[in-house]
Amino acid sequence: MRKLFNNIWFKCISVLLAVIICSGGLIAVLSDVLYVSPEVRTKRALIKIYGEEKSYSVVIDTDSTDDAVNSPIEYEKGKIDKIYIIDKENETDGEYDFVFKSTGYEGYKSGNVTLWVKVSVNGGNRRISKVILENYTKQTLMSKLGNGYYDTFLTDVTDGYFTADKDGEGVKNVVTGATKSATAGVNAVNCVIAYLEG
Amino acid sequence: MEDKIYAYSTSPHVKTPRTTKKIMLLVCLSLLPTTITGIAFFGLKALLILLLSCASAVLSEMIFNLIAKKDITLILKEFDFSSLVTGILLGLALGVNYPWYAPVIGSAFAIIVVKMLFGGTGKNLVNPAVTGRIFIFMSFQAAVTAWIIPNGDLTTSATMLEDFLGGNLPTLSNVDLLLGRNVAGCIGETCKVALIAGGLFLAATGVINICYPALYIGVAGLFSVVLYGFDFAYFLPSILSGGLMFGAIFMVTDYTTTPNTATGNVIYFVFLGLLTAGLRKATGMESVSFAILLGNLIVPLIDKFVINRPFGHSRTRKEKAAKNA
Amino acid sequence: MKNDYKKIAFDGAIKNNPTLKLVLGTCPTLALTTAAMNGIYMGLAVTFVLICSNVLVSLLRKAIPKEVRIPAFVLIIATFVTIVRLILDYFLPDLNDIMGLYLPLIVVNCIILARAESFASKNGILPSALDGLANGVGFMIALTLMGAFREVLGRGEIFGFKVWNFTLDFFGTSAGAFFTYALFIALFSLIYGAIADRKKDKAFSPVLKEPNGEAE
Repeated sequence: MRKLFNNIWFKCISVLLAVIICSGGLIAVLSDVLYVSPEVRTKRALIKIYGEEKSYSVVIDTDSTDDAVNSPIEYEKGKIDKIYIIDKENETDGEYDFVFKSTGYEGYKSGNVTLWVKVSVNGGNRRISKVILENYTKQTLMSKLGNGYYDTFLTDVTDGYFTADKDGEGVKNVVTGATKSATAGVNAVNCVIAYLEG
Repeated sequence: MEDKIYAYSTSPHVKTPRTTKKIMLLVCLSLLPTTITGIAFFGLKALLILLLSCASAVLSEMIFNLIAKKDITLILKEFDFSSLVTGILLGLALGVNYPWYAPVIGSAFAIIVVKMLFGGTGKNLVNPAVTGRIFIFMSFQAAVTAWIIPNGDLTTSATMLEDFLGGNLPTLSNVDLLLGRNVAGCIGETCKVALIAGGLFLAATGVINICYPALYIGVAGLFSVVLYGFDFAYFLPSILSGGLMFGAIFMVTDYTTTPNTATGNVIYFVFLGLLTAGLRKATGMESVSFAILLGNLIVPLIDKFVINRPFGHSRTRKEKAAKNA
Repeated sequence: MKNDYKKIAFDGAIKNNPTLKLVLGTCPTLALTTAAMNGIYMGLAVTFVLICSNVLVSLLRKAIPKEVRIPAFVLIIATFVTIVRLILDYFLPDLNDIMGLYLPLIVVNCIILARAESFASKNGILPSALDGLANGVGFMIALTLMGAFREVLGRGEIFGFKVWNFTLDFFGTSAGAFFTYALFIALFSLIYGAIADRKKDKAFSPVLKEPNGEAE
């Protein structure tokens, strides 16, 4: 038994296991304590979009427990996880804001890009008024998509779908060197347009 | 026996009267036609850019030497005109619509960082004029919107090279490209006749070997033809547009940044030709300076592997055959 | 003992500055010197991870067999980097966006591994912590200075405040990053070498005395 405990491999592996278990435990505890819930993330996104907190009513929310609203809207190139209608202080009829959280597929290494899209509805006219980035998976060149990229999305919904392909049809986006990530972002916005048009 | 006084000296025992100063002055002379046509085409702003570039180059070298604690009389005595040549080359490589401080900063960068910090004349790793041009190109992109056609109106348009790289055969005839009429571009690169005249003058006086620039230009043209689908109509336009001739005749033939051996030189210039044509096709912008910079960095590698046969050495195969026979 | 601490701090921050003398951790240096404020953020994150990992490695130095020390160090460093990311995500989400990909890259930052391997695994807890702090501060100062240089010349701002309208876009590109890094290493060697030489000269200047008796 002594020999086993003194064996160098046993010591090595046991030390590594001990470190792994302890750090794993520490990280698990801390991620529970420092957990950022989806409501807080939504609140942060709304602060980024509007500059202040807003209250909203839920149309679709995949993180809620209510079965009536928690199934996402799926498309071929993306999906929409959340649709909120923002409560406005002075309620003018026919004028309100949608906020979508949509994910576009077909990014670099089959990753996704998730965007928050704010659509302002004014009577019959619907216009995309702000697009911000929420997060992404497996993309490495997201820094190439600067403010100019997100500003190209600010058009009327009826203007048509977007494309990041420089030979494709639709309202083109000028991308410098990150075509796949830009495609994923474009797919996310196209899902929003498809939902509003279809 | 009378006492003779022998003078000791070490090799070299045969010296030529040609000094660095004289060679640089010959290069300046050969750049004169290009300068004159450049100023004639592009106006007095071109003259201003050239003067600023030369003044900045010469002054930065002198100030660097002063800071390095050399004597002022020594500096003036040792002044070889290499910084003046760098200044002229850099000025000629700029377009007319750069702001006035661009050649000043670019020249100072080229001389101080690329030449003086590496050890002065003859010790630079890369060509200072090329690096200065790249520095200015990367720094002032926002200030330069388009190139200016010298037909008196100074309107702006894309250069012929950009048109051509888009896949269209250029709309100017080859004669126009040769003479530089209505061609937009840098100050020094538009009139090819002046460049060729300068190059022939340098070859006649023995400063450069004309085969190598010709090899570079030829290979670049042929590879362009290959890349655009073996269409020979592309050969002359690809040679005559952009900064290829200017770079080939004046910038690549810097003594320090070319290999030491003939075989090495052939490899180097062929490689440069392929790289220029390839980069032009791949990136769609003028890439002569970038190709030259990359080539310069490969020169030490070429020098390491291409070894001339030493004097008196005979091949071992022949020795073995002689032994067996 | 106090002299030791002063020496450790001085060595870590200035004499063996990890960025400018040891040329460690070049990846975040080249990427995050685009603005001076990024330098401060990155420096603070790296300092935190350095101190924590140095302390823990020093605590465990007798327990970790030397055959597996590198995997063990990397595990410990990765744990602390994850903790930093969790903290930042909870309290300061904007910083998370700014630092982006470079926050997880702190795990393979050579500075932390080098200090763990060469100092913390051989010294006590308090010296290791001090060494971590000194190296982190040195890294932060180097990054901030380089960031300020590139920001002023490349964008005309410093810490977000506009200084002048003149910009040299070259310093915003990656080529400018490499060039700035080389420039600062050269400047650091020059200044530090000059100061060190002057100190040496003062310490060893020979005292010339006239010989007693006749001159010459």
